[in-house]
Amino acid sequence: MPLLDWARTQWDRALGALAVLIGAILLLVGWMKISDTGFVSEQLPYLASAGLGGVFLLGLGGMLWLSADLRDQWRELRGIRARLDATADLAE
Amino acid sequence: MGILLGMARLHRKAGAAVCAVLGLAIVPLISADAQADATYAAVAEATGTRVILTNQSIPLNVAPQLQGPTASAVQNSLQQSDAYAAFPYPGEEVAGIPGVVGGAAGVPLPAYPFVIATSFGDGAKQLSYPGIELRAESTETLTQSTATGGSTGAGGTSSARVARDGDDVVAKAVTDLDALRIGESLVISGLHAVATASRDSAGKLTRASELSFTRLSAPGFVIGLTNGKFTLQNGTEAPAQNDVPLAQIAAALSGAGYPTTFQVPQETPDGIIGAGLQIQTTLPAPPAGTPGGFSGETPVTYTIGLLRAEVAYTVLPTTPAAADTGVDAGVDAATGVPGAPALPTTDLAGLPGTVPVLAPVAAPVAGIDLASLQASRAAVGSDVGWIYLMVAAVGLAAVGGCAVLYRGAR
Amino acid sequence: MSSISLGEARAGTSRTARARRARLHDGPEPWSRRDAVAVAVVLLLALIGLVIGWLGVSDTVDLDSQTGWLGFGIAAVILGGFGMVIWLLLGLRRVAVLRREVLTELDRRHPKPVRTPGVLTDGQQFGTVTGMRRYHAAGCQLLEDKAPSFAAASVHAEAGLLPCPICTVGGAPPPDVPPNNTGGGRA
Repeated sequence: MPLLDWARTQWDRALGALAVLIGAILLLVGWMKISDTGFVSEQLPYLASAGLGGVFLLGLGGMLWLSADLRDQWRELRGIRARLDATADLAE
Repeated sequence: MGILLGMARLHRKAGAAVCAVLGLAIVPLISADAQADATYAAVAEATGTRVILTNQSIPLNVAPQLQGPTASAVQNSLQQSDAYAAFPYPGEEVAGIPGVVGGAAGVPLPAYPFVIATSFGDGAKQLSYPGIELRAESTETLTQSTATGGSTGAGGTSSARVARDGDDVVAKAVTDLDALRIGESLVISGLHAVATASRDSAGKLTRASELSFTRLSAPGFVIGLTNGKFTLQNGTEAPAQNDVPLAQIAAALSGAGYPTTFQVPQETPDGIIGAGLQIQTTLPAPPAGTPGGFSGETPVTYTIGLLRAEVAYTVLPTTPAAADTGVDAGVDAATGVPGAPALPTTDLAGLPGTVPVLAPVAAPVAGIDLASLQASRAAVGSDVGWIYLMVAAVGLAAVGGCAVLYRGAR
Repeated sequence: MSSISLGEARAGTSRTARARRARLHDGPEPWSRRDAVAVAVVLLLALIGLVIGWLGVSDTVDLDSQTGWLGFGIAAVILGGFGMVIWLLLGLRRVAVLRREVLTELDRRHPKPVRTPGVLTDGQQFGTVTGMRRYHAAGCQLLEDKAPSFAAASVHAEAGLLPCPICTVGGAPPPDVPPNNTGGGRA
């Protein structure tokens, strides 16, 4: 399964995408639940759970995706630097 | 370099796709209406027995009354959730005396002790005395109260409950009395009264009521009552016989010294007032020289049943408020609260005038006025939908910020 | 910070770089285990706060109490956001430091030929792109993949633009700025 392989190798991006997806769904569900009732006292729990939870997950997803990119850059740069170090050692 | 550029383009496209999806997701958020029309008002009230005494020697023609166990529940979509339980309850006038006197004298007096009340946000409360158990609970979807008085086998319980589950609203009032002695020789046992009104999400109203007792024993006969039909019983454990015409029962009770009025269940526009019995007897005159100048015979009227359950709902926009239903509900001039409608009666004893006109069950709760409810709701305009949208926007901004940071990181 | 160095100083510079690297974070990821644990704890606290806030809001119907608990939940989200931002800033900063280090080393190994400081003449054409604060020589890296508009230097100067210090339009680059350092893409 290509998707599973991708999720295994790109776990941070997979988690990030999943978090964003769940966060967006949570926000939509929360909105529907809030729309179902006219009671503020019933709406506030949805705001506290689906609303804030959705925002938290969206942020977490973004953070994980960005982390994956930073991680990639870090690896690339470290690889270049390792090669530079190796050539420097040879020169010594 | 080319690969990096390609990846950057790919990521940019992926980011744009994510933003587009989230943008599409926000569309239904904005277009949907966050405020559902859930305006309703429901009342349930149950009073076990109501006793009214009239005696000429009492000054100012005051007719003392005593009732209980009494339970009522009022709940509406404006976050009103009033539950009330009392036993014994001497009527609003007497129960309010401490407040009136205290206010006039400038001295805070303790309130009437045998009553418990909760309103929206109070949660549950309980009050216990020997032989008395009072409970009330008010939450956003449930308002209920229970009053229990007496002991096992010789006590009674009244409960009132309004519950909302989604768009369904149910109001239910129940009274159970183990035994009730009226006068010297009439005993009613196993009395059970229920009134239920419910509205489903479509606004369809369902009513139900029941008044029954296992036996009513008076000199010379024993009867039972089930679903509005009287049955004659021979002895304590004898099985019920065929239905007995009301006139015969009335004549028998009247002959035994207990003029009785039976009231059939009365449907109101938003619910029902259950069947009721009104039984009259007369207490003998006290001995001469009784303290307080109390003298003469005392007619006493016992009222049983007449439980009330009503649910007014917004999905019936043409449904008028209780005061506009064509039934003369009457309005308390002082409070503006509509009272219970006057009921047509079936005078079993054929003795008009001997039984006082049935007064509505003492209602410490407000009636239903849907029009004012809707108006005040519109004025309040309470809704957190816009706050939710702002929170969602913050979440989207977080993702957007990440996308910006991502581009910066590349 | 090292800059363009002479050939015989290469080995010494490399050692200096390694010594400095030892002081800086040098793990397989931009974040150390300590960073990860600290941010994970903050996020966990935020999550717990969210759940507590939710339970608190759900447990009462009193509007004042609910508002208080909602504020608690919002504070938890802010705490979580703070943790996420710290995490990203740490990563961005460390990647930037590493990138600068690598580019500096690359530049030291393969210095660009020293170009003669450009002399601004009205006959020369310089390019710029809308949004840029500087104008650049035609071959400048900062114009790559862009659609610049070309004009004489005096025209750009009248428009308030400055000469690019990297492509040496306005003279030799500053000594601590390698010619091929894109400076994070800003121009």
